[in-house]
Amino acid sequence: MKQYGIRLFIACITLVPLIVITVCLEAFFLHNYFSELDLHSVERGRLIASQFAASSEYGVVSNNLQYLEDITRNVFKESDVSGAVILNSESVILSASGYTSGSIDKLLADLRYATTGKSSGVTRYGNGGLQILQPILPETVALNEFEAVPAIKPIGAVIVELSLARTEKLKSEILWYTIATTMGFLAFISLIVFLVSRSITYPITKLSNVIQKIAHGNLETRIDSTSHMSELEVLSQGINHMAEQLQEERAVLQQKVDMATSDLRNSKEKAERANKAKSQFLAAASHDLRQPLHALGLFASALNERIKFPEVRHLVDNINKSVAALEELFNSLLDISRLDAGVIQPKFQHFRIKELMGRLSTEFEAPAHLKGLDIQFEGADIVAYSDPVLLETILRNLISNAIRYTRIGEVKVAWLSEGTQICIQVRDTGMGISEEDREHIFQEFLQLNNPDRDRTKGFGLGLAIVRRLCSLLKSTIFVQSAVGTGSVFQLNIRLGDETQISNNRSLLAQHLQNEPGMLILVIDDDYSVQEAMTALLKTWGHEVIAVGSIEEALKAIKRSPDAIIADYRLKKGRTGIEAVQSIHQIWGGEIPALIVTGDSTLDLLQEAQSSGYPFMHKPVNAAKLRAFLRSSSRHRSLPS
Amino acid sequence: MSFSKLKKAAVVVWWLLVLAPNSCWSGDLRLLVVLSDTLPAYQSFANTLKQSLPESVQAIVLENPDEISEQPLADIVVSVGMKASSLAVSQSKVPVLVVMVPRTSYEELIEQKSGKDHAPSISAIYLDQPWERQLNFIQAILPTHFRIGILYSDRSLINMTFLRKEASKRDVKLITKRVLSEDELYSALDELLASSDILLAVPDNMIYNSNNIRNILLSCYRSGIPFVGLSQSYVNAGAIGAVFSSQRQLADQITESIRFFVQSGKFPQPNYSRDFTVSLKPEVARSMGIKLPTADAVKGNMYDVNGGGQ
Repeated sequence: MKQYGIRLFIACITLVPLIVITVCLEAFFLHNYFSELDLHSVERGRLIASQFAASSEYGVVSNNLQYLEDITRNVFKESDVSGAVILNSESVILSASGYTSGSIDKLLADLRYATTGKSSGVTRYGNGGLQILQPILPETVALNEFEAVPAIKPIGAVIVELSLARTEKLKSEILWYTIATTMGFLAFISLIVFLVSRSITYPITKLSNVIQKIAHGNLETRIDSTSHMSELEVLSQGINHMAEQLQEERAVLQQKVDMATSDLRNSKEKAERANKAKSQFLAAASHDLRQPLHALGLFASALNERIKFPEVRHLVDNINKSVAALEELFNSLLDISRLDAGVIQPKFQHFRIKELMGRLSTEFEAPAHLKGLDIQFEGADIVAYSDPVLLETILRNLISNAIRYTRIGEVKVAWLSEGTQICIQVRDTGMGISEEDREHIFQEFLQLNNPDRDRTKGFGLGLAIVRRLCSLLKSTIFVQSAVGTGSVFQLNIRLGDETQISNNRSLLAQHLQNEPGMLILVIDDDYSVQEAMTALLKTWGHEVIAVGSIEEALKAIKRSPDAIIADYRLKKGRTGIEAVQSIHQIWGGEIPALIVTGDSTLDLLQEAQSSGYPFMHKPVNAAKLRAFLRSSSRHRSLPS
Repeated sequence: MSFSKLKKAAVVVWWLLVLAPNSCWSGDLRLLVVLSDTLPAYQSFANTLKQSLPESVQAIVLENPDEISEQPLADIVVSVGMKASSLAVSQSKVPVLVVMVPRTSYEELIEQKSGKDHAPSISAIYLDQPWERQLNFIQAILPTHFRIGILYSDRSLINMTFLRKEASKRDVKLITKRVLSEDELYSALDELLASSDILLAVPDNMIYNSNNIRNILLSCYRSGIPFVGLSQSYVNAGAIGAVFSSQRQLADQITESIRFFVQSGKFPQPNYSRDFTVSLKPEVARSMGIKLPTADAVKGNMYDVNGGGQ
């Protein structure tokens, strides 16, 4: 509904009737006045004509043209008279003023037409004026009372033309004067209405403003009572009262909220302390657990190399599997803590996505086929711009999850470019994820359909890592799923530029290169670790010098080692970094070094990162260790 | 006893003789007064006449002259005006006294009537004034104006020969102008006024009527020529003066004629009204720069000059 202001209403109910009445009255009086003016003109014209006729009588009778001309000239001199004519009884013009011969002929023709059948005077409008024809009748004087008065015959006629210009000008002046006066009057009334309406609306507007301020929470606002209207005064008092009430109640509420907030803050601080304690516990636990686990892994690997009996080998395999599972769990936990600590920074580069997918295909074809699933990788050979390592980790997690949760059917990885983006989808025909579970799948240790927490089904950390990595890569991940049909995980990364792909050979090619026998210095204060590491490295055909401290190392080394593997935390508060730096001082800074640690506190991780040396968490994965050694041998073979 | 004393005694005796036999008035004299029209002037005249008549005379007024033959037989008919007189003269079987008719008209009537046998007694008292009286009047009021202009037409009731004779007797010059039609009136008037000292009206309805008189008067005034009218109305309209007989004077003379008829069985000879009225308009005269004597002086002068106005 359209809304109008109070002022408009007041203006309407006062001004509209006033305007209507004023205009009607003006119109009525103007009409009367103009009619009177017209009538006056006609009367005046008739008077002039009748006097003209009367005074012309003798001149017409005596045919005294000079006399008639004088009369005509005198009549013509009268104001507004624009023409005067005297005719005799045969319509012959005896005298005329103010006419040309052409116009007088037309006038006579018009008047003859108008006077047809009339013996009295004729008044007509024509030629922009008033034309009056007055017959000249002889003045009768009773002479013979014994005879009837004879019929009077006109002896001629006079014509007077009266210009209406002055009347029209007067009318126009009066009209404009009336309009101006009316306008002035209406303007004055409008001003009064404006002032009166303002005296009403001003306090109302003030009230409205105050109410709005109160509505916006400014409860201290009060209304100054300045209105002379008792109703508005009552209203403003009511509003002030209301504001006071609200202010009081808000103070009470605020107090309650403050108390509740304080409680909450305490609870939060308590929770944060608990969380910190948990993190510290986790860090400490993983360090302490890593040490034996690292040793266990190394021993198991060494044992596996040496066992020749198949039944024993089976046991060793199981040990290896358990160690691998433990390693995976630790790695995952470590990954999460590293990601949370912000240690990992993405290194964006342009790379061919197909190469990355090729590696994943090779990696996952076997496990998929083992489970009887079909696995497909489909997509164009396009260039992506992202961190290939982190992206691979994301996809590895997604694909392994897909395989894990799919019993029959297929897993499909597809990618395509969409504008400046590359959309990567990992689809499966697995059990699917219900809508309420979808909100929780990215939480740590959540495993769907694994209430028994079967270790072969993973630890439920994969998607938690994926979520963290995606946010690191600034890419979004979506899930679509229907229970019993399957799931689709989709993430978007930026499209890359082919011209900016670096010339590095692919990692795959590097894997194919074998390393020669190397002299490797192992520094670890844990003797079991020394032993296990030595055993493993020796199985790979390397020569090993294992020592427990920096000093021992400096003594034991007789020639430059090809690589150094040092534990981070050494005795007497020394670190593996310091050990490496000491050896580098003696034998040169080009010896590749690897720092190994079972500690996962954030400080340590950040220090290791800043030292620039490669870094591995205990238990050290054999494959990773081997990869490090290969790269070290390549580094050593290069000319310095 | 001088002749004048004898004459006075004779008059007294005559009056005694006339008035003594009242028995003759007590007889059933029935008078039928026939009016030519229903105009107020005729009514007024009838009333004046009735007042003038003795009570013994039974006067019946007939306003419609066409009904004259249907009326019961009266002893005398008094016909007022031309139309009534014409009908009365032709149809009446009793003596008729014609009044309010100019002499010329009456003479025409009589001429038409003559030749018919056994005509009853007819007489008249003329409406107009004798020309001698008119000329006397002019001489009395304007003794220095000798050229008397007369505008006339074929319808004018005027005996030009007689008039000229009378004029020559008085050493005044008569200037006449004939008007053939109404349209020529003013040109004829201008012409006449140019050669006259005075304009004398004549009984002529075409020349002198209600519509024309004002302009004629104006012309005269502008020409400086005084205009002598025929009645009080002319004087009222602007004539310098007029000599005429009033209704009362006419009525008295009619009464006298009836009395004469009762006594002698016949009317006196047709004649002008014996008594007359002089009316002057000194305002007009003053405007024209003329000094007029008083009306009484004029009248007395007229009697002195012509002995009884004749």
